[in-house]
Amino acid sequence: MTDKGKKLKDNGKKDPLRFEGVKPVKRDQKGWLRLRGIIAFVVVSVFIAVIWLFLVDYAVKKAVEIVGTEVVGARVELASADLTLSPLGITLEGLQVTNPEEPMTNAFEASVITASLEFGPLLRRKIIVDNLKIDGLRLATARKKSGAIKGGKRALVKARPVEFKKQFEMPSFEKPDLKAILASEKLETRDIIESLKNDIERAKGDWAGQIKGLPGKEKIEDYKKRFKALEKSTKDSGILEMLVGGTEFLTLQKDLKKDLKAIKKANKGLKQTLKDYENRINGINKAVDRDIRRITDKYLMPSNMIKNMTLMIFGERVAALTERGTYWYKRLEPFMERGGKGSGEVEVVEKLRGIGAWIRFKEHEPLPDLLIRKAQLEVETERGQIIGIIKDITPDQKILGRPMTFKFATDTLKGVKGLTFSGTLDHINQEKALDELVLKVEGFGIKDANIASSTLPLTVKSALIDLDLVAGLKAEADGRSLGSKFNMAFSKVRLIKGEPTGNKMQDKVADALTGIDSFKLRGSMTGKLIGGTLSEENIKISGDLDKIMERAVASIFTKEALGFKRELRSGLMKELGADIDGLGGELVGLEGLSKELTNRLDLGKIKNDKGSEGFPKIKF
Amino acid sequence: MLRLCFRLIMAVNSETSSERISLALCLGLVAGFLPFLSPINLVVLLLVFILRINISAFIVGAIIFSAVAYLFDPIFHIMGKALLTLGSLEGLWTYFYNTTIFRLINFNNTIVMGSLFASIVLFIPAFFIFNKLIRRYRESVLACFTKLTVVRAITSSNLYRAYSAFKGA
Repeated sequence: MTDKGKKLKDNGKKDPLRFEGVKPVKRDQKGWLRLRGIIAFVVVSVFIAVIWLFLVDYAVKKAVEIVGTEVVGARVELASADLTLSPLGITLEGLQVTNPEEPMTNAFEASVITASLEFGPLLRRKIIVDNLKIDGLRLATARKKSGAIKGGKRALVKARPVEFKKQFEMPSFEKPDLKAILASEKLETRDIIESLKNDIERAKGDWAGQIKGLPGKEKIEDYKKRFKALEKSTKDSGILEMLVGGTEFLTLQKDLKKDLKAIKKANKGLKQTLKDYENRINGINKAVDRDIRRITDKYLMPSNMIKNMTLMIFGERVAALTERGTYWYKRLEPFMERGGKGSGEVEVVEKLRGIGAWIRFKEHEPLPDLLIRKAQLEVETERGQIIGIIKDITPDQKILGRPMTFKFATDTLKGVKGLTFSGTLDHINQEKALDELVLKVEGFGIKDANIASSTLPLTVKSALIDLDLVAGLKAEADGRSLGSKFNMAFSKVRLIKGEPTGNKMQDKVADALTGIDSFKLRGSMTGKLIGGTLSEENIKISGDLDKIMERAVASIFTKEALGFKRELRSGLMKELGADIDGLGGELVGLEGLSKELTNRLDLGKIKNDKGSEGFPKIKF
Repeated sequence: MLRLCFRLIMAVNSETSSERISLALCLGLVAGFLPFLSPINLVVLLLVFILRINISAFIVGAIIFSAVAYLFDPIFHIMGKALLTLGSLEGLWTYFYNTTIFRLINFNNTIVMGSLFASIVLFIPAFFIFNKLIRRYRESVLACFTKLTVVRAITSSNLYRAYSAFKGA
């Protein structure tokens, strides 16, 4: 580059490379360095820094909203963000996180969030928050606008299978359409009849073929003739003839015995077959009973449900709470655990969208990429404020070497004597990850609430609840196994029955419960958490309500069930009775074959008296 | 952009040293290949300011090579990954990983490493190629152009001389 205003000397020679029209002789005669450029660089850098300072707050706000929305699967909004350089920190105001399950409700919102950051680690792209303070945290607040987003991740927890939900459905005792049931149900009785028919038909063919191969009446008559001839020839004969006759007799007798033995064996087998089929036909009655029991269980009420009324009433609520817990656990899991190797190995952390991959190497002083050393939360509820402390929030517990712990406690809430919620989320070793939660509530007063099944016409006018809950999630080869136990004591209970629902069972249960003033529940739930979906759930709830409710519904159940069973049996017999009777007729053919064999055996019997048709007795 | 292109053409047509234009284009190659917000680009910018090179050439080069880099990102990723996972270099990378300045420049990102490697490898060959191309252009195209009767007629006219004198004043 040439400097303006400085003329170069012309040596008079014409430069062949010079464009005639261009200003003459402006060759670069200055050195390569332009030190004034440093000033320009500083000016540009300062300009960029100023622009950055002006835009950074907006950039942080947008980043929180975009990343938050992606993580939660519903809209995350922030009123403002403020980044301060000294001391290094960030303040977020008016954070609203939509509940993806209910887009018109915020899962939570926070008035002010302040975080103080460590500068050194930040240069190495490590976000280490020394202290995070969340003020005015409120759960489940109403939204003005829907927070749903297109293609939200609501399907993280799959809908429960119908069979699982069914265990909490209260039977209505409405008689189902018998004709439709019998037409649609796969009946064991019908299958047995069909199978018997086919078997008998096949057996008839088999036995007819087998009997055909046995000695017939003609052959036995022939034996008889030969015996008579021998008898005649041995009468008044000499010793020699008697010896010859004796030998012939023995041969004849041996052959006859052999044939008779074969017939006898076949007859015995045929009779056994007949007996087996008779037994199977008699067994049809048991299949009818089984069909009736199964259909009654399916359409009216499982016979064991009457002993498990507590589960039926409270199970739905417990299952719903577990499902919600599972959902949020899945959402928050990435903040507790990130896949990958330990800090001592080279690791490729792939990222999508063409921004490359980050390769991690062994660190001399390993630090997680994100760590919140201490978070202080002030949760505002209708009953007052709960203060909680969460320590060591990081997705890299394996690097930090410490589990995340939390504790929320208060004794200042209105209508609650005391509340403690604590736990440890240990993901240091992902293969042995163990999360444990303990919830203890004392004297939790409720008014005008619904504690049980949503369909039960019962409102709790007032009650005091004590709860002890212990839950754990343990890593296993194919997911995480869930285990939880709880004990609940309800005291000073006042239950009010609502309008009758028309469901006899519900009304009866509601009637029975309105009189009680205290009860206890204990329960457990186990299951498997695989890919964010809870499966193999097993909920057990029992308590002193069981007997009260069992007594209340036993009479009504027995009466309804008996009537239904009677009608079902009559319907079944009407449809299958003729087929069952017809099976007896099918056996007649086999009985005829057996008779035929018996006749052949009778023919082969030795004559005992003069009148009989058997073989003659030969005297020597 | 058009203004920048014209400036570049003027620089090429002028008697500005071809090495300075080539160097500017090569620095533009580095800045263009690397991700826009890479801190290494600050160093490149510092060099652009303190070296007496053609800034228009640098800007045009950076824009053109940014577009090229967009197409080559997958190749940069493969190259970067291969380099960063090379067993024999693990010690060096580990040292860099534990040094704040290297962490700041995101050396452990495959695209940063791939594009940085590609631009370093191409820097010197590209310098000589650009240099040669500019010289060739000046010797052939520009020389022929200046010999054209029309151009000679225009440049030898009084009006043009007066304009040149005015512009140079």
